[in-house]
Amino acid sequence: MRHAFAALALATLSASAFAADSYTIDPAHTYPHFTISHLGFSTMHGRFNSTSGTVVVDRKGTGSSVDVKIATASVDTGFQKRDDHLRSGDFLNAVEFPVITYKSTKIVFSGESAATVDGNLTMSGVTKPVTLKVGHIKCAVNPQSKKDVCGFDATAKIKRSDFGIKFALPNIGDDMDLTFEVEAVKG
Amino acid sequence: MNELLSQPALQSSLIPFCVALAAIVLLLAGARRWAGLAVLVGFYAAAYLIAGFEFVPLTSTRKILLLGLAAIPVALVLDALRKRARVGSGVLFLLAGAALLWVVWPVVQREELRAALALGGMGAIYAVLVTSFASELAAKPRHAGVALLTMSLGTGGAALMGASALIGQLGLALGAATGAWLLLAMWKPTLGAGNTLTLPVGFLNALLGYSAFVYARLPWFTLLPLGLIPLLARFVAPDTKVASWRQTLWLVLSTSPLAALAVLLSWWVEGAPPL
Repeated sequence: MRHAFAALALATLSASAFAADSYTIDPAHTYPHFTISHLGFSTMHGRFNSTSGTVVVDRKGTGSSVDVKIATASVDTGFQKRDDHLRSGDFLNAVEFPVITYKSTKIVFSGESAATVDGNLTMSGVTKPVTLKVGHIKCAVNPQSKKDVCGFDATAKIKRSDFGIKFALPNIGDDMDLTFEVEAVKG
Repeated sequence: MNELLSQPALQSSLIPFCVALAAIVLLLAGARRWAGLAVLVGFYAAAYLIAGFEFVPLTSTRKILLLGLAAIPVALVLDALRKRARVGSGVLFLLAGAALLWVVWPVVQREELRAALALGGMGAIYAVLVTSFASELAAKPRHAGVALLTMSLGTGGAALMGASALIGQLGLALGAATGAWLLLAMWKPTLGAGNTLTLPVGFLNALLGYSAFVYARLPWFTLLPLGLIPLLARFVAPDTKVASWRQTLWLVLSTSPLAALAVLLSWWVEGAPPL
């Protein structure tokens, strides 16, 4: 009887281990985007061009995780002078804080293609909890590369002042909408 | 009122000027020899509005604000001492260099050895020279006021062009506060500058200028004309027989081309700031 329990426990563990698939973020298809109000006149869009990290998908267990690293200096709004300003100590302070990180603490799936990700965003040396709403998930074989790929789109809202980025408040907006397009390759 | 206080133009001009002016009037009544402290009162009032007084995480700008405050008791002690020993001066200026190294350490530690030595060494030399040049003007109040005014405005203006509005605003605020002191020094020629004015303000200028080079995009060569301003002021000798305001004007005309050159060089390389 004791052996039967041990075998069952081992089988459960093995299934859980196999169910958790680890993926490496594909930087060519992963971009964190942001929007922010410019003096109330318009909504400015920007993105970060260099992202790395890992995604673990474990739909049956609790082993899912997201660990993303964003190169702060890769900020791109399509205008060099403004990007230089965004990299300076007025905003992102890219020299002193070269990496923005997001580490999940809890992921709850709602059906096949949606999830809520709780985690910590660290930007400009300040860490705050941020919840990502994932509205689309697809894990399948990429028909072109023939590799196992998992992709998702996620959104979040933050206040830049929460991260100590207070330059030109309130003229330049405090609220930032974040959108992540993420693709990760298995292995 | 809050809207007014959050205007960057007011934060780095009228507010430090008025606060410094009010502080001078108060200090003249009670502690005349420390009137130079009024400039720092004006500057830190502006710094509070511009950057806030939060010190976690300890960024380079926050380190600069802390180091400026730390320079005040040192300056007070120096003014209390009648004679400054040469060894003491050497140690003091080495401390200024070490302080600058602390400010730029996050960048220096990531560089290769040779680049780290160049970056840290250049910064330490800049801090030592600017602080000592400024400090040498302690006995010449009008020269000190003009040199620190033009150097601060030059540092602020150049940093603004170099894509750091934060350092730019702080530099301009330092200039505006020094302007208030200079205005009263013209009116009251017996007003002493002392180390309480020259040491912290010169030191802050060195830290702000070099930080704008390391952390923003201020071209390194703009630091040359800025650093030479207090040295040049030492050798300008206005006609002492003319009115005080004319002597001050002569000093401003002599030193401001260097500040203007720094701003122009920064503008030439980096272009206008993004507004």
